[in-house]
Amino acid sequence: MKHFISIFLIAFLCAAGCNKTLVNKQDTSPTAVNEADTITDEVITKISNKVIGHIEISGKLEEIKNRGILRVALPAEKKPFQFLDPEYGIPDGFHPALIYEISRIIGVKPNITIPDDILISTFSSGKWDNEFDMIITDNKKLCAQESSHPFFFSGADNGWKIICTSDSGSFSDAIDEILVYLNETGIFAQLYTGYVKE
Amino acid sequence: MNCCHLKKYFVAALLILLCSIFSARALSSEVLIFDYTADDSVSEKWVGIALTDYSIRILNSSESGKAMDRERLKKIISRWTSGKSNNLSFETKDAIRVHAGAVSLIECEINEDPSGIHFIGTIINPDSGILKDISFSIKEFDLHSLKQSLLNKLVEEYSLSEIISENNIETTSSDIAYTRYWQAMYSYENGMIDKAYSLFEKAAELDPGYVEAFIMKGKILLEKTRFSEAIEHLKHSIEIDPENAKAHFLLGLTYYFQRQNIPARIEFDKALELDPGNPEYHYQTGLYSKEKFNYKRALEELTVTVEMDPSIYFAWYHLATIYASLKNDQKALDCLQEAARWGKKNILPMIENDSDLDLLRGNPRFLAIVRPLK
Repeated sequence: MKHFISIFLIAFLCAAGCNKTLVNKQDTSPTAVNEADTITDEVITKISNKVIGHIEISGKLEEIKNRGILRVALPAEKKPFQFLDPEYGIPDGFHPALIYEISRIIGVKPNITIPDDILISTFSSGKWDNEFDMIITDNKKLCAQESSHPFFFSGADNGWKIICTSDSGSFSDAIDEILVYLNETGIFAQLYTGYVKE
Repeated sequence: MNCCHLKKYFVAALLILLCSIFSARALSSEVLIFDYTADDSVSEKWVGIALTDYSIRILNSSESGKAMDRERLKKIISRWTSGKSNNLSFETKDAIRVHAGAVSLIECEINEDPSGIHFIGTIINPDSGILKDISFSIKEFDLHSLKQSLLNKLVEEYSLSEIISENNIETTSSDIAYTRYWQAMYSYENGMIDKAYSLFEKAAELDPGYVEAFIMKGKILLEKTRFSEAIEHLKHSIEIDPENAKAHFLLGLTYYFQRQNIPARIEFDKALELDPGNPEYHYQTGLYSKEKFNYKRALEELTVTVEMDPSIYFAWYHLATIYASLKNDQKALDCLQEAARWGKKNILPMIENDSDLDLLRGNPRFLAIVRPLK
């Protein structure tokens, strides 16, 4: 009988010990966090360094990276280029996917707005750069005072789609490099095929 | 209390014990093996990480998942330290052990002097205070002797019952290919990527069946954005070893970066099927699903990720943004709290600026989460 009691106690203490390990798990946390948190992040960081690593992080680019968010405005809804997902109301389509790729290389998260009439009037007044880091448009007037990056000739719209950046320095240089990367790697073609041709 | 009652208690206690063991194993590995450091006296520095990997393979050949995969442990370490992993204090290693739910850890140093190569290693169980010495010395550098001595020590200390030989642990039988591979890995981990690539290439030439060499070639090509070539090498890895989860995962990741969505999804699913205990694979599948607005699958996969490793703070953050989109404020705030706890200041700018969280900003709990980060 003593034998049983001993085994019971050992088993109980071991079980308690295992639970202690799991409980302790809640009480520890790292002292600092590095950027390359997962394999995916590690690869993204290396790709980002390859594409825009040579560009000095300053001005608007520094501001965006510090903020961790890229603020982007798109034209009014027009499938398949930009539209709101019917279930969740989140921007989807070719342009949001393109913005996603650009954000990934910069190392930030995109916040995309498909504007209403009020915001469109803000664009027209030339005040958009306070609200957004970039917009995608086919209206060249919006880019008159800023840097423009033609990226796609639309037969249907009979003209170039343009990425306007509210900066003519490092951020604008980064966009140029990223567009080259997207073309050279075939990513742009995959995005176009995925959204526009399907 | 009669004997019959005691028997019932005994059975119940055993059940509790077994449940505890299995639930812990579902989340973690039993042993953490921190990189063995070869000090400046050692001419072949790569041998430290090669023997670390070898030790992991020895333990896992007796019981799958007994020792944590080296790459996975390195990722966890990267969240704890801003410095290099070989400078970790014992306290930090122990905190990581507790976080990972492991029982013991192994740490070793290798040095060389005129009398030979000295491997000074210890198995430590901090909870019980038990230390086991696994040190040994050999007269001159000889890979076979080093590996055999290490194998003998670990077989003895862990009472590995099955007969384990060097041949069924490694995936190459070529010593030269093995040496080139680990020289390459050492170069890769120290930022000498081009040198690493050419050494991995030599390893693959010396042993065309050396799957790890092809996987690493594919990974470097992926990082260099040479996607088509990366795909070629990773497909070749899968031809050599169709059950290699890492090869499927990296192939999926290459397709994902190249925006080839359908093959990416197929490869991620295959990696998960082959290695469902890897939180990285669940995390990536969660991200992919989120991007495709498959929120149900995204929530499932990201939840499994944080259950396996709560320190992957971006998984918590993505969960928070999904729940916020679904107007589930309570769960969004719960996840945001964990993201803030693990991500600390790194995540503050995003929390402050992300419009996906705008609907939560008026909530007192949101303010309570953000305040300590400032």
